Amino acid sequence: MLEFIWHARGGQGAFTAARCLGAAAALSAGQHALAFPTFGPERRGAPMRAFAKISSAPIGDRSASSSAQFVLFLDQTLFSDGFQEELAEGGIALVNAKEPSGFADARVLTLDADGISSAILGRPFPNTAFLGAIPALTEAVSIQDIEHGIRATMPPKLADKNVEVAKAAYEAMQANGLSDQPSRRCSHRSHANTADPDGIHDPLVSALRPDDGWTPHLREAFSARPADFASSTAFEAGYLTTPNAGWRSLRPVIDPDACTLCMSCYLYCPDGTIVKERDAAGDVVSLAVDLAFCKGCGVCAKVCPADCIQMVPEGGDAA
Amino acid sequence: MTRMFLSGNEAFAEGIRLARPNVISAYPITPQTTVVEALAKMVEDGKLASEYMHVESEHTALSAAIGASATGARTFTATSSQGLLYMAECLTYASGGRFPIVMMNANRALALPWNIYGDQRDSLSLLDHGWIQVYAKDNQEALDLALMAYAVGEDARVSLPVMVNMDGFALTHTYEAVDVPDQAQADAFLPPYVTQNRFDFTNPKNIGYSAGPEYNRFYQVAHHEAMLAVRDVVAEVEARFAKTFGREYPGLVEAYMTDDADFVMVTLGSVSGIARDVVDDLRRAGKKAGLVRIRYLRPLPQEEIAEALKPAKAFGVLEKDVSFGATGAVYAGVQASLASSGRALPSLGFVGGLGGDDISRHQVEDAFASLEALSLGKAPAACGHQVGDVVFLNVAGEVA
Repeated sequence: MLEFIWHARGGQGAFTAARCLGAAAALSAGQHALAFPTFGPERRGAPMRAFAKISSAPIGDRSASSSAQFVLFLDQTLFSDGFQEELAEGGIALVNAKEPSGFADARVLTLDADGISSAILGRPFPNTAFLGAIPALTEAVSIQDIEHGIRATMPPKLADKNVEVAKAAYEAMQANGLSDQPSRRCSHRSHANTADPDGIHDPLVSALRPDDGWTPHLREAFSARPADFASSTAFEAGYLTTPNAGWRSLRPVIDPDACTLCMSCYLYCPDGTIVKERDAAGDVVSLAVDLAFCKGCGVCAKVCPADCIQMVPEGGDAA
Repeated sequence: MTRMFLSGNEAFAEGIRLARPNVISAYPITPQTTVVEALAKMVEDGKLASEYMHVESEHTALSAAIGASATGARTFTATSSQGLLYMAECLTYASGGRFPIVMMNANRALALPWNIYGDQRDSLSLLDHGWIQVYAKDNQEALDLALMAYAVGEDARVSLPVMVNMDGFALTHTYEAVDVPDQAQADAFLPPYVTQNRFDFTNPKNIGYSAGPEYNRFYQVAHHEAMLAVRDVVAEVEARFAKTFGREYPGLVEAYMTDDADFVMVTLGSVSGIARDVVDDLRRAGKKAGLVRIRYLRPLPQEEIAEALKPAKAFGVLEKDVSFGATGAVYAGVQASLASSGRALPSLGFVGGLGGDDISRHQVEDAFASLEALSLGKAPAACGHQVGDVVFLNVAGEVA
């Protein structure tokens, strides 16, 4: 059985791609296939996974794949050193990256899926570019199967463009070859997904919170000993227990000079993450964003009448 | 016939479309939502000539279905979890009134703690409400059950509502290839619903009346007998289904490799897929493992279960359910079935997948290993948190 683990952010179309791949295998390549996403709260920008399984025999195991021959990262910020654990022997990790370099491990390949899809669709939708790359890496499905899978899944107009994307990616992947990808250590890490998955040690956040153990100890208990946590039906109130920083692909940056302290963002933020900063006299002097809980939705930037909030990419220079 | 790559909910909606219900009343709830969304779209697009009632609650969804069924209409509703519990009062009105409504239930955990993921505590907590309960193992069976449920429930010997259960997410939201029959085939298999049990202006009847102590017990006996008639009706319906569509189903239970099995796992729903894979592995290793997949849990297939366990020296039940302070409902039913044949066997009740916890192949392998040990008269190695003969999978070492 061939398994595929798709890592992406909500809105990048990973599950759609997994479905197209399953349809390609089941409806065109004469194989059995399953496709499903991880389930839970769905939101644009939140990290999510999807799975596809392809086999010549009926597939009984509907559980999520813990390791796979193909581990696909539609968003480079989701790529971290943990990928080895998910990679089956002889497996390949494929990362959406502009430069065909930056990764020390020969098992890691790159595809400029954003570039390929932007050139054809006008916007970066990396999912169907990844679909096109797959037949360049395995004989389980052909590019014709992939085209069939896309057409069986998407409405005709959308399918035409996405077939074009898949074919361009297929050619790019073939042209790249599998062995001549330069090796260099991955230089880019998203702070939200590696050493500090919750963003709670973000210096900005620390500055906003007194360092008196505000981090809910019950949350620590939850991760360390869930059974202890479950013996109670209540936990301390007054703060969110699950930071949302990992959901964010854009972060708001407030220009303090242009901010008029009108408090529009404070009122509109759906997660109450706009924090008042006070001077010694207790007067509000500026506003800041609690990045442990900001989901990067951009409502604050939209409602700001002074236009002083910019949404900047996570991991970009401004971050 | 068209081969499509569909989620379980989409496949089930196709099956309901082919069954041509006159009335659909539903209220959305995860993970059922996409089945009623798909049906709403079919009605809107003119592909399905149904009266679609978007009601304000699950209680009303089933109440409306009961009212519609009482006019002689073929009716459909669907729900999940808390929605099913909110319907609970109406469940016995539907079954006691002998209205052959088909309801799809997306199996999902119960609050508290609130949880949208799949387990089977919702439907299993309502086994005693007089409905036929059937559990699908994959998307094709789900689609096929949509058609067969009407054929079974509407049979005059039965005249009972049918709850078709699909594991939340593992079936409802997982895509796989499904053969969607043509309408002409479906029409040949499932003619329109005709019943005497309905409002009729030319031949007026009293429906939904009360019955005091003088008569009440006779209704309950009739209800029980109707439920017991399901076995034969299912066999007939499945024979007709195979003739029409070329797909065969094995009746109330599916026994796999049980003829000479030393140890047998009993389960229901989609987890049967992994269990079957593990049986195949064990057989290749020369170990006599077997599997019983319960398809219909009401009526309880006592004879079939006892028969399948005849050669076994030990058995286990794997279910996504526990009745706190007792055991899983399926385990209790299987024990009762075995006892009815005058036998007792060493056994374990495995409780896994609660609140959507993935049941991994590894867990199932460990559970089978425990059964093998039992069949050899040995003490099984711990494969979870054990309380009496109930084993909670994936909890080992975390509970004092």
